[in-house]
Amino acid sequence: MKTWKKVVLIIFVLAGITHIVMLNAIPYVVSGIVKKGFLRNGKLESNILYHGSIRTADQVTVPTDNPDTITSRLVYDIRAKPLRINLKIPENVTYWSFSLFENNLDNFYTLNDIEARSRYHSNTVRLVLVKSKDEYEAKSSEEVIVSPSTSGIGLIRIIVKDRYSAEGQKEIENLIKILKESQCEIVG
Amino acid sequence: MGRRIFGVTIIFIISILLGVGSVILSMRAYMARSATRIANNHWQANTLAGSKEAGMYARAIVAMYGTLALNSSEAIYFWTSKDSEGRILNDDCTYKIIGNGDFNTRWWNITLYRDNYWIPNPLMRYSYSKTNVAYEKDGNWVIRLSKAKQNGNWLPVNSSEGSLRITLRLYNPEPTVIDNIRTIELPKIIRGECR
Repeated sequence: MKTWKKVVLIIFVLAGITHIVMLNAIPYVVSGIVKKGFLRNGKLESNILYHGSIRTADQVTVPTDNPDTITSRLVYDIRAKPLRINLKIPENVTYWSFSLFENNLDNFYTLNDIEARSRYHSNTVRLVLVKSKDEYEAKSSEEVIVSPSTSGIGLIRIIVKDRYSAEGQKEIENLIKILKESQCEIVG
Repeated sequence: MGRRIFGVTIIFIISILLGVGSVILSMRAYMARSATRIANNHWQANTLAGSKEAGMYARAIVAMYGTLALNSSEAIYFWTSKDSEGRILNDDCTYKIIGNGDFNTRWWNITLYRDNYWIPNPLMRYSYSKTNVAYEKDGNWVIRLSKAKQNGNWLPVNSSEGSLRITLRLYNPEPTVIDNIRTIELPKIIRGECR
């Protein structure tokens, strides 16, 4: 094979490898940026649920954020030990959900208020996040969730009926109080 | 020896540039005509958002433009950057977003973005939803999108760089919505006066 043909071939092979590596890296890079943002560049800790409030345009850090939600954010790290997540679901809420995202931002677990009440007959849910099933023996009131990656993101979303009205502001105050009853703790 | 190192470096740089360029082009092409992208008039959706079944292109695009999206049984996200006649949304124009009643879903909202972020405005109004839109007597609703103040449901637009995008979120949609995602009736976006 002539030298220039070899060079072209090498360029195409390397470009193809770059293409695949870059495409697969994008979700991990974005995930890293989101986690860094959630933890305010290291000022906050992982494995703690941080409860938010209604945001304004200058406070938004995530693209295509939903303005009608209040959220609690969690960056989990279960390399060392499992994480217990105690969730409190507000009564008469328009929509509540807890979702977990692995390191490539795949949404591997979601529980909404209707499913939670039907499954647990309660407004309280206890989840334990583990890296492998045999790492933790579940108690009767707990659901064990195996995370595909040892770190990731958790998100509570609550939809607010009307963030723009006085009545809606009262609802937000009440929802935030209830939201704060949801907490995380490292097991053991 | 020096010439050889220089040659290898050049080959490496060209390869990286080609690789990066092809990622950008293929993502644009994917967004424009992917098989997993669903078009309903000028609205688009991707039911693989947030899903493990998403391929590497869908996953990369959702990571960048729909970060932390829920899977489709929990929420479907429709978006558009065009009016109902296929013209790109222009912030010098006034638009009516017209909805024919509610959707078959637990809750919905419509949000206006510029380059995927909310548009700052003195009212701090970024969205309308099932629970706060003012309905007409017949159960339909109209949201006006413009720089100038409007009566009724008004989403303010400012003068700035970047493209406008409207997102419709359907939370806990009925299975019929997912089954008929290409044909369900979505809001019409009618362009009015342009200045």
